[in-house]
Amino acid sequence: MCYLFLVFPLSSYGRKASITDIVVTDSADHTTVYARLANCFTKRMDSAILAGVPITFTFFIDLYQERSQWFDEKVSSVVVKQTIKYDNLKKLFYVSLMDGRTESEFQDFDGAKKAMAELNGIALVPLKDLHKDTLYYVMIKAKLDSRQLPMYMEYILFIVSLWDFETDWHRQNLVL
Amino acid sequence: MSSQGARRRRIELTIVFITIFVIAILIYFEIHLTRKENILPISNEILIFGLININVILILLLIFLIVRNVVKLVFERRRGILGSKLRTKLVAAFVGLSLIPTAILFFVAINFFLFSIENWFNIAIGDALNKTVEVAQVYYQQTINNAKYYAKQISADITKNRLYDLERDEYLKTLIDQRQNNYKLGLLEVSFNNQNRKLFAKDPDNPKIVPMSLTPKMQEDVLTGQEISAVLSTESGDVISGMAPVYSYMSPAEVIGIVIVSYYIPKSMVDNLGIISKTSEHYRQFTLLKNPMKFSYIITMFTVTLLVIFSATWFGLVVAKGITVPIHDLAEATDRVARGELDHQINIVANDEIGVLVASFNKMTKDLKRSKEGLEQANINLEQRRKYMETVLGNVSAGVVAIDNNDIITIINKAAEMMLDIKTEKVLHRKYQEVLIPEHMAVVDELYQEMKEGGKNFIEKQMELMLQGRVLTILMTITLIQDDDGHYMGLVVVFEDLTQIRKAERSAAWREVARRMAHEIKNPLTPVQLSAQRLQKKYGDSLGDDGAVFHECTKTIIDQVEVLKNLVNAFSRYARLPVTNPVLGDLNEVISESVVLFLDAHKEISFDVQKELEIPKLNLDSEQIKRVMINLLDNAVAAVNKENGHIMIRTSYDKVHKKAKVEVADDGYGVPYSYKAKMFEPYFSTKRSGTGLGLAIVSSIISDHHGHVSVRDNSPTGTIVAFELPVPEGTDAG
Repeated sequence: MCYLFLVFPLSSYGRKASITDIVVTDSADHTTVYARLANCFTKRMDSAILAGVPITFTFFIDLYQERSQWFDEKVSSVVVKQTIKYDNLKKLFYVSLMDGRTESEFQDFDGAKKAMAELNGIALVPLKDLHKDTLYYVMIKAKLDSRQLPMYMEYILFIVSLWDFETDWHRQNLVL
Repeated sequence: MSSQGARRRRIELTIVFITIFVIAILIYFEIHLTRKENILPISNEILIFGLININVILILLLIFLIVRNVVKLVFERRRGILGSKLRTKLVAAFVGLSLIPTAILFFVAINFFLFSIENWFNIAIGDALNKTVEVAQVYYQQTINNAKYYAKQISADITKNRLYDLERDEYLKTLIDQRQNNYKLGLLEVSFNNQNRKLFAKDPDNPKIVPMSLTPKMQEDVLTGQEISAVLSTESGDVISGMAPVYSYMSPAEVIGIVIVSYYIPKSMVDNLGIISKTSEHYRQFTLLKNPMKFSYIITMFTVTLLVIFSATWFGLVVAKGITVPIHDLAEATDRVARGELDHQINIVANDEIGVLVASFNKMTKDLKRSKEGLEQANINLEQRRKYMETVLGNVSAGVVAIDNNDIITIINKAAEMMLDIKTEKVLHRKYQEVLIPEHMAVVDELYQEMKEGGKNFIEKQMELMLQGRVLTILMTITLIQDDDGHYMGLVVVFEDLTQIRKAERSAAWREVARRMAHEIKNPLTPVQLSAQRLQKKYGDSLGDDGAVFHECTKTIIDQVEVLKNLVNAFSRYARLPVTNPVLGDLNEVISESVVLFLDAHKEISFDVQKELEIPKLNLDSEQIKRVMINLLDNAVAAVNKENGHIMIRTSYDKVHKKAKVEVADDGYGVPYSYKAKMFEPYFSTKRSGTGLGLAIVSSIISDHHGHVSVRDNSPTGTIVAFELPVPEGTDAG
């Protein structure tokens, strides 16, 4: 019966992870998003990272156009993955940000965790694609992908699934 | 039953297929939903999800089938369905046999696994791995520290000797070469003016080492006075670099350049260290997963144990079904055969003992059917023979009575029934001793004794029997029945009614006697009478005193001759009875006319006439019936007391047997039993002046009317003489 838990993993453990400090702003030519993931690291996750388990956060960012008479239209959708991996030989934390476009190494764990939990200037949509006097909003959520254990253990050990988290969707209006 | 079973199996198959279809859809959605976050190849995803879900399906299906069958078995056992007890026992045996070793194996295996896991994670191995990694870490850290240290030393030398000046470039170059050579550095780089001026010295043994390209952050850190390090991984190995700022001699806080000291760690060394690192990582990861792994193994073993138990249960059910279904079919077939369905055959194809049993059963059923058909045919033949015998017995004129060895009357044919005037149902299957009256029983005993004394198996004897007031003359043949071994089986008694024959013979004989008597006696009587009259006339007056005597004697002769003449005339009438000429007439009227003659003549005797008015008209010769009645009434008057005698004349009608009956009952002195047999014979009379021909004439006339006369005692005294006349078919009452 434990396999049922594998197919439908539990989504939260302990404190509820959430997204805070969401800022949607305009850069030179794009609408960009800034956000922070809070309560995303647990002691068990810390132990796993220090044991060399790579941990990936996936951010789902959707931009919607609000419509009064019909379902809202999804204008843009971006998925961003950020991965942390510890090299215990060199005592370095490698953090791959924004789908690997930025690779940073940290000697301290807290700095690496801080970098993992932050979304910095994710370009959503070119400004020219948006219309003035139209209400847009951004929906954002984050999820932990834990299926990175050796020997596919994550498929067998439902306990590991308890590390998983998936935040609620958070909404932030966009004012042009 | 078979069509229902096939339907059920089709439903089960449909459920299984639907389940598989649903699971396939489930797998698709699972893959679809998780594909984006997946870091594994898609084929592995399918394989893993497939395996997991197949396991789930198998377990669920197995649980479903087993629970369904077990529940069914429980219900069948409760309802007492044939074979359910045996199936329960077999399933329980299989489960018991599998449960005990499996449970033992489960606990042993779990303990073994847990012990093994604890061994894997024992402290010695963990410490050794940690120390190994620490050594590797120290090696890296020492190299970094060395790089940073030498970088700092060289930086200090450059600052102290102001070698950053362009005019001292040769000295700087010499210093770099010397330091690289003295400190065995892989690569020593010195740069000024934001990397615009660069000098370096490379270890000739490691020509592949490449200069470190500083990131903006690194440059920023160094230019702000920090000593930093970096590790660059390349295809040929790792480059460990230590970076230190170069300060201006004149302005010690100003950073004017960077010294980078790099050590080269060859690929083989990096790989070895990597293996150590990976091993340590795995070990630590497994340490994290120790408890989940234990739980996982317990769950896996438990699942396997359940599968074994379920499989054993399922196997038990299947085996039990394989055994009990044929037994059930056999029992059902036996029941049907017992109910007479000998055409029933069991359709089970099996090569084992059950198959042999079924084949034997089918053969037995066929044999039974054949035997039954033979038996039925024999019974039919027997029945036909019995009916034939019954018909023969029913149609023979002789009466046949069979008695078995227990003296039970087993057969009475129609002729015997009529002859003896008995009801078959009243005497059949009863002992003959219970049925016979004492007089007849005495006759039987006498015959039996005679047969026994004679040592014969049969005896034939003619005798006269009184039955229901009638005298029967019968020829009785008694035959002993013996089987092949000579054992007594019973008796067969054959009666031949000789009454009518004897009566006719006697009647004919008496008529012949009467005719001869009339002829031989009457002829001399007239001359005798005439001679006597002549003697009286001629010599009567001449004899004087003797004439009286003479006259008296001749008168006596004449009178007696007259008496003899009357007697002879009576015989003559008997001999010359007119031919009966029956016509349809009213019996009651004839009876009344006859009785009237006696009412006036015998006023002292009371005559009581009871007439049945519903007697239909019947064929009768009224003159002759009158003669019968006159004879019967004469006898009755003669028998009763002359002062207060009572004579009853009664007519009746038996609608069932279509017979009219006339009874003349008197309250006189009666007739002894021994006389009854001879009453209707000629010349038998108890009266002094009787000729003995009255009842003989009665019997003769009634016989001519196809009726019969009977006599029986009246109660309390007297005699009842009755005669019956047949009523022709089709005549209405009244």
